[in-house]
Amino acid sequence: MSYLDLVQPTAGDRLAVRALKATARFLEDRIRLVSLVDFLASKPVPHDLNWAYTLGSVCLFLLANQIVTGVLLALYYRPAISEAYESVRHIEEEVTCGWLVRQLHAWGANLMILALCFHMARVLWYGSYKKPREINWLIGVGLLLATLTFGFTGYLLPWDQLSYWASKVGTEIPGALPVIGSVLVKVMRGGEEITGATVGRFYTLHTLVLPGIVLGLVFLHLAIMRYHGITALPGKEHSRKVPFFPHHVMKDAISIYLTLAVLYVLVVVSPWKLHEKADALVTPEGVKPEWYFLWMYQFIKYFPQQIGFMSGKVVGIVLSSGVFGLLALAPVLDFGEGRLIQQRKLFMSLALAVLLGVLSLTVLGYICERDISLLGTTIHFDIKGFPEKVTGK
Amino acid sequence: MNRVGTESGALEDVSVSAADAGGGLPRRCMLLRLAAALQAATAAALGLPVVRFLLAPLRSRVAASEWQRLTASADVPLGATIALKYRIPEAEGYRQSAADTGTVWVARRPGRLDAFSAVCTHLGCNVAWEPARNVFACPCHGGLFSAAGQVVGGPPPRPLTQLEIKEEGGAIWVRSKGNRV
Amino acid sequence: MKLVSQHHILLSCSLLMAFSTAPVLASQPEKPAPKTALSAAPSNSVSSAAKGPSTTAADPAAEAKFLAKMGSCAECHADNATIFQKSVHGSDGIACVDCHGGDSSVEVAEEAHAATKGFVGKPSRRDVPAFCAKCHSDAKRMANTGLPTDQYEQYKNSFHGKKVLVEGDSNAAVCTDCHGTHDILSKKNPLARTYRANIPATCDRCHGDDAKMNAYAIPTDQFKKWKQSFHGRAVLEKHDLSAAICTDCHGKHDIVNPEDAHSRVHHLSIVKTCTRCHADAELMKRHNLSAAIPADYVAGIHGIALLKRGITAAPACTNCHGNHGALPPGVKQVAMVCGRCHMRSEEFYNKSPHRQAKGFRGCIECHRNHRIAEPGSWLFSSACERCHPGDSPASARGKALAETFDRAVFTLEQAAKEVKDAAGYGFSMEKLEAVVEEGRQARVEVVPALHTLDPREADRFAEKATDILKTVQQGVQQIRIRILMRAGSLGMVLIVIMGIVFVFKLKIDRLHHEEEEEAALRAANGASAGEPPAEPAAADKTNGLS
Repeated sequence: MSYLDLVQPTAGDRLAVRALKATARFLEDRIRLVSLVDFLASKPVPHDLNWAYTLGSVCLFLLANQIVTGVLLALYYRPAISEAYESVRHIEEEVTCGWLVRQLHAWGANLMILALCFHMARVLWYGSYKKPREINWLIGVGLLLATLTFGFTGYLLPWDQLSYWASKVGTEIPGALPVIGSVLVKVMRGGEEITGATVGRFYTLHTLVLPGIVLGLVFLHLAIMRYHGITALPGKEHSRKVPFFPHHVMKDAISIYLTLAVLYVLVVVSPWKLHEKADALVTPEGVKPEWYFLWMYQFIKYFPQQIGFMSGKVVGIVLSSGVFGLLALAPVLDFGEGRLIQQRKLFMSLALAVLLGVLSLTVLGYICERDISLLGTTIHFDIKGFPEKVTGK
Repeated sequence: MNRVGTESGALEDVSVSAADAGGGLPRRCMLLRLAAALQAATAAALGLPVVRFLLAPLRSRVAASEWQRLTASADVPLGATIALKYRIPEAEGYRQSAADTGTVWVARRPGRLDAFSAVCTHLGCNVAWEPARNVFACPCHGGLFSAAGQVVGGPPPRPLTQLEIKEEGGAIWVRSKGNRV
Repeated sequence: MKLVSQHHILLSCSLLMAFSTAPVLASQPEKPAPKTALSAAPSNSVSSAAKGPSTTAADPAAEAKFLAKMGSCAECHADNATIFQKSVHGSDGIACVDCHGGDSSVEVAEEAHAATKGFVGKPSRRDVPAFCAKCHSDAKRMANTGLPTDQYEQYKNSFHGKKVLVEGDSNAAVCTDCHGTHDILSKKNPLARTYRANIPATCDRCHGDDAKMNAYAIPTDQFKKWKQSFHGRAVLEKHDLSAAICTDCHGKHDIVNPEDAHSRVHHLSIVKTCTRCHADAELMKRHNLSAAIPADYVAGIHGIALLKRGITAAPACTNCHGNHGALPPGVKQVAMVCGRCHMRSEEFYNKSPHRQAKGFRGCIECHRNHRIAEPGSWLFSSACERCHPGDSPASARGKALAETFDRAVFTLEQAAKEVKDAAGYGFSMEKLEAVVEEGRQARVEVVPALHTLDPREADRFAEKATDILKTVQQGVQQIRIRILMRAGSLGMVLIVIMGIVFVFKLKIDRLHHEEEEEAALRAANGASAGEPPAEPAAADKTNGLS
């Protein structure tokens, strides 16, 4: 069953269909392209997959969006501190549709990380990483890390005040590690400070290295997924199968279109502001990392200067990095066969606890050092996110 | 964005499975046509900004050319033909550059003063004045222009481009007539 | 601890002030005994002083009593004894040994001066304050003199005291420099160095000495200036002791550096210090001055700036009137005095017709002097009419000028508002803000220029304001158009997407419906044929990797 099967062809259609068929035949005879597409499209999937199963495609769509808009931005962007800010401002204000391309890229990045998180949450919830899919799960964790690095490197590139200072603080954090700390910071920055060298490094990572890694991993991820097929809902392993196309594709398409709608609404209604140009001499108020790093940033704050012989910061860094370790080890920790929630109570409680921790740290990270107004009451939160001063109307 | 690929896949798919197209209900048919039309609209909506973004340099405006002082009048005596640098305003990304990137040949003949852009009208190399032959010669493909800028040999299709020139306050001023010349 | 001592000093300062400024000290109602003692001593000294240097006492009995007190000291130190006799201490029955120790009952010098007898001798300069404080900080001893006992405490925290006691710089003043040694007289004695009229000269002994003051980078012309000032002339020429002398502003034992925030002459405290006398209606009436001036200043623009908003660049009393040479600026000097800060205004004012007008008192004619109100175009309606009748052409010109200015200011405000409103759209307003800033600059520049009263200045400003508003409106218009286009595109994209989603959903539902029917049918068939339900996805079977 495919798209054209359903269309009552008119005379014009018939001509087009004949031309298409001829082309398809030509390609099939030489490179078996049609068979390949057919193979991919006909992948059998359980008929009862829910909407959460479209999140992977949403990620893929957002990746495509990042690639297209990223390539476009690279045409006008200049990775040098004397020009970076000006060129972004030029894109934003003067290049036709430049605002759209930049905003799609900026918001797309955020939505992509969000979609990745939801996608992983779905896999975790249904235990889809269980044998034989452990390796694909690991690749997924790798993709998450690569995407976060994408976010971190991309954030500096506009070279405005917030991006400069957030990157300065961000690259400072590993400096607390013993022995390798200072080396790591220097390597990341390409020197002692955030300079043009840093922009060059981040730009190269962002536009050359990471895309290569991510595309490679995505290809593997998809190939392995096609090899194993999509996991069925837990407990419904033997439900009826339907072809990938058109059933699931249409569902994917709906999710993707809805994502596009959300993306476009965000782009138009709440565009990312370009702040003042980076100034190494003036630290703006409230420098915080991007929301997806907030939990780590907040977590480290709760450690005292010194814990035993180690600095508290190091313990914080190691523990928060441990969350990624836990993610990677999920197939090992969750060793049982069963994928139903009631069969994995222990692991799922652990996962939920970590998730809640990360979420609450994110919230604390957001509200700390900020005035939050609610129902006419303004509360100021201190550096650790505790309410400090309450003022009425 | 990646919808197009899937669609074409679908189209090819039909050719292989070669299922007959009959049996579709007219209403279903209309729905699908509508879906296709809407998708085409989305593709256009997404594609148009991309094209406009790519073609943005076409819209960039070059600052209007202004009179610029070349040199003192005394530097160009009667009968002399000398090459001088002048600024060509140009939009380069976010900034308006105004580097001394142009060469102009200033020639003083009895009763007249001419300024020729050195850019050969054939393929854009810079011509040089050859006093021995009394011509501007292009080093690339042998184009030759007379002292008045007219083509006298070789492949150039047009005479040398002339710049507006004036003498004022003991100095020579030129102004290009618009874009790069 | 520190706080307490500060309080203590402040309290004693104010007490001291109350004493020194009260015209008649002796009118203290309480403590009759010390009062008589105090008033007796000076009268005694005055009378003896009036008779010139003399050992002949009015009262031989007292003389004998005094000599008895001196004991053997007077035998060698006759000169000191003579001086001492006339001093406030001598006439009060204090003996040499009370301060210097030793034994006045023995005749042999070595014995009388023996350290075992507690002989102190002449204290070094550094030890002088403690030397005096032995008695003067002792409340019991001072009880029947009515003198305060906190001088030493005040002195320790003063600039002089810190130099001497902490830094060991004995060049700074100690007690004896102002009060004398054996010849100390009551401050009510006109011959005393601490008599009100004599205090400026006393201070000048050190503060007029270039050699001494150079080390501290302190000027030395204060006394000279003061002598010519209103205050100095009142004291020295009219013998009016109520006019200000050094100590009234600087304090006495507790003098601190004027840059010290505790100083009474610190820029932020000057007004309060001057007000202490200048708000006294009775006192001011004597000098034909208004006692409302301090209040006027406080209510004026400078007072508000300095005292309420803490803008230290704002002038206090002394910035216009001078400090030591305090005088009201003359008519010709007004513009100059104001012009020290309001340079541009002065420059333009000098070009105005008012500059030449007879009897025009300069800036204060329109702006007033102490109660200066926030200037504005309202001045042109209220101030002009003080001299020009409301229907005169000059008045009309002024009003026209003010109107043009007002309209321009309103235009600029409108422009600023447009930009501010548009800032919420999230577009970069840098360029438009620069335009608004240009307007603000123009306004700052036109205000001094309006002092020429030349209507062309206002016209130029108005023209500029109109241009700015136009530029801003165009910019904002462009932004609005962009926003509309973006919103429009958003609407269209949403409609199209919703359309697609709707169609797809419909399609999916139909597929499901058909398949379920089919499956049911097959199940029914299969059940009848006894076969298991077949896998529906047939397309996969040829190419499976698995």
